[in-house]
Amino acid sequence: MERLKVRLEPDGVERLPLADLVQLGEHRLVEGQVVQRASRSSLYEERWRRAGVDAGAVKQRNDLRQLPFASGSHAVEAVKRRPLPRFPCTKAWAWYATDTAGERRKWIPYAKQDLLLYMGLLARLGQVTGIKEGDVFLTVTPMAPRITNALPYLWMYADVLDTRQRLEFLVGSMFMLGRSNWTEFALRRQPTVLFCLPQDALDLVEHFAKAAGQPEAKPKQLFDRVRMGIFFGQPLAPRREQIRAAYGVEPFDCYVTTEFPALFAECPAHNGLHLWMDVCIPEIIPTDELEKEKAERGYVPTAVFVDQASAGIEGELVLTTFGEALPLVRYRLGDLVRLVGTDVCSCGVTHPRITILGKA
Amino acid sequence: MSHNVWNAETECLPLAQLVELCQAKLTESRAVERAALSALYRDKWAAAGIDASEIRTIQDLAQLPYLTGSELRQVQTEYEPDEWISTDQVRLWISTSGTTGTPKWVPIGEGDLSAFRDSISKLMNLIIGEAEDWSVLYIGGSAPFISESGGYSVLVNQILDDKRGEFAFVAMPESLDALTFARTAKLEGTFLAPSLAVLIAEGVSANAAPGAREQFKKEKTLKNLLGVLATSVMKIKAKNVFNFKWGAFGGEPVDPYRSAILDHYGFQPHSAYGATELLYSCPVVECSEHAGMHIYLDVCVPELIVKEELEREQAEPSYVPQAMPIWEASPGTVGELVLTTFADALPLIRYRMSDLVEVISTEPCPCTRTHPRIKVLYRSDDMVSLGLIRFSIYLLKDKLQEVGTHGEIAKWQLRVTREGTKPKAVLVVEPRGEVDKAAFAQELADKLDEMEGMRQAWQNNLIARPEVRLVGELEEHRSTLGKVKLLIYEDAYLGEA
Repeated sequence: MERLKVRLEPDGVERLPLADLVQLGEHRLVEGQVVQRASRSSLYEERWRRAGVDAGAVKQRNDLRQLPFASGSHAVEAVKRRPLPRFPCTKAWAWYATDTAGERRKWIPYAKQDLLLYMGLLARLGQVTGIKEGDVFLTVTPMAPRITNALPYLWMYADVLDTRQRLEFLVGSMFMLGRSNWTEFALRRQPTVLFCLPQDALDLVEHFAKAAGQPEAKPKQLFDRVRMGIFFGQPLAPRREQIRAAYGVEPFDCYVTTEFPALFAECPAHNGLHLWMDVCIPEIIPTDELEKEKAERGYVPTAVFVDQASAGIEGELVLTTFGEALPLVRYRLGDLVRLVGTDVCSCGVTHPRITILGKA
Repeated sequence: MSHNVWNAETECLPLAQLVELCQAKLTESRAVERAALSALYRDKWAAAGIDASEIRTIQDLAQLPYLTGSELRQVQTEYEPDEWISTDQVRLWISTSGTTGTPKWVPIGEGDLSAFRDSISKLMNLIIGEAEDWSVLYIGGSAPFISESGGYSVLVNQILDDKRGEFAFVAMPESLDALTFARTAKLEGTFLAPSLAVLIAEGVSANAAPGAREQFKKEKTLKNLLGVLATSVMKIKAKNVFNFKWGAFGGEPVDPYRSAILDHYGFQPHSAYGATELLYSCPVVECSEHAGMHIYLDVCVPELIVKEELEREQAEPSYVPQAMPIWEASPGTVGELVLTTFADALPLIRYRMSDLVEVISTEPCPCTRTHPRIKVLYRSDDMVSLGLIRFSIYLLKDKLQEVGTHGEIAKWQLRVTREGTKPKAVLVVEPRGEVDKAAFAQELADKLDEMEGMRQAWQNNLIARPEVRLVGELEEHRSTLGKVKLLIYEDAYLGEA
């Protein structure tokens, strides 16, 4: 198959000094005309007009502070009030949806560069977590149209097209348990990497035992080769030790959102998830500001750029991204995080580290 | 739709040159040589005294024994995957649904992904011509089925070609939400099963008026009032609700649904055929002429075991039926499809598909493509095919042997027909002696419902509710060689509803 570079540029960006990363983010914000492009989306258009926002006036990162926050409920509202084609700011190549079904479900557009970015971040996930040549993945995916459904396939293509680690993927789904013999086949194929939701990993313990015909066996007795697990979609922390005990793997946490290919990843230092500063500008709304917002109707909380925040600060994560189909501009993700540190990690990666605490 | 072809150099060659191309691909792929190392073939071929290096031409293939689905399954049970795969670069594993037995696992190698890239380009061209800016709602299955992974291959193909296609991919259980989305996003194409398409359309028509009334109750606006009025005077159809302008349908015969799809959606459906074992190497798709599906000779060697040979095989179990290349068959010839693929990870050599096909034509198609056209009848003499539900007649035979509480079976046959567009199974039974008819019929109906997926299928309106018919004297059908047929496909099953 032809080659296509999906790895993120510039080479070595994972280890650039933090100041350079901040500069890179600012450059991508301004040169990529992110705010001007975003202003074409129904997510921002009307609210920004009402707030008197001049998209062209955003000339540096600090100018973002003039812009109102956006959130999931704004996204739902925008699609309700305006025709769907007005939601992306360029034509979509693919649509993925959030977990919620029905009216509140958000359908998020992805364009070509967003999909390539996703592949690039998956390649990076492999690099940071220590994926090796020839690794065999057992991936358990939620159903489409969730973006997490795409993970193994986009990773496989990232590898075929660029990273060339000869990775092999066996994909199963919880929905197909009892309708397919994928658990039996997984035992035969003996994966080296488990890639799934943490709770799915725990729920599968009994299914693997049943598939092996050994009701008391733990997966670590059944999977000789599996050495690591990458977990997404739910906080890993409350399940980490159970998973380690059941599978005997080194667990890695990974943060995924539908709205943007974030894939913030834990490294072997296991001291927080690296928040990739080359693909977004992250801010935190500190907890006290969130409380004030709750208490005072109409209060607009203040956010702080992650690179300027102190270690230990807790609050809601806000992202500005450089996406093609739908750049997020000061988008409140609804997730509470704690900043672990902005210093260089012992793994050598310079991007700040956070832990996910739960829903805001 | 457009008659543009993706690659005129390989799609529009005269038949004789296509056969030469087929031979060249067989040689270039080293499919036979590679297969000879696999546990799927090596012992069997050795026992037959086959020297794989001597199999060089399409004609030579005739020396090789056939491979059946059950043999494939058996080898997969007995040997570890590394023993039967033919590449050291498996990238992905997919499996069959297992409706006809234990699921079969299919490795996809890097070469298969590469070949599939060409296949997708061909396939999209067959369906929508050169259009670059298409949009599609793809309703597929869940992993490990091919209908999930295949969707992403289509998406990546678009990226590599730098041609935008707007893609919404959903798993079957999420269809309802996705349909609402497809309507809002005005998606123009769809990939799904024809029975599901008709079921959706029927749902739209049935729910339009009550839905409009409900909406008006919620919000008394002029727009909603007009909705109530409109739905009370006219029948709302899927085409009034969706923006679909084309659709590719597979997994079951499309012809019985053709007129319903045309009526409800306003477009001619494209029929597609591709078993899990084959789809990455050779999908078979109908072009805009809707006169049979093109089977591409540059990706496989298609053969046909004609009906007479199949019947002889049934009558004489040791008889090895002869197959003929599809391009040598006359239009109207019916037989079991046998394929040799050039796949990377799992080349299938003389693989019996268990599906009967009819040769439509080996003449150039009005679309200008020259690859032969076939119609897949989706049935064989031992496979019960009720649209998406498939099982072996012998599994039903086993099941019926458990019957005995309210009576005994003297003779039986399963007739497959249709009720409207929906496939329907009719179990015709001649009881032995006197029976309590109602109780016996119920016992038989319960057994039929125990077949995998049967009850869910009729409860969800995908098929008609199976019927049990008790008769005084069952009229047996026999093959030309005298064997009793347990499975009868009525003309209504394949004809247009």
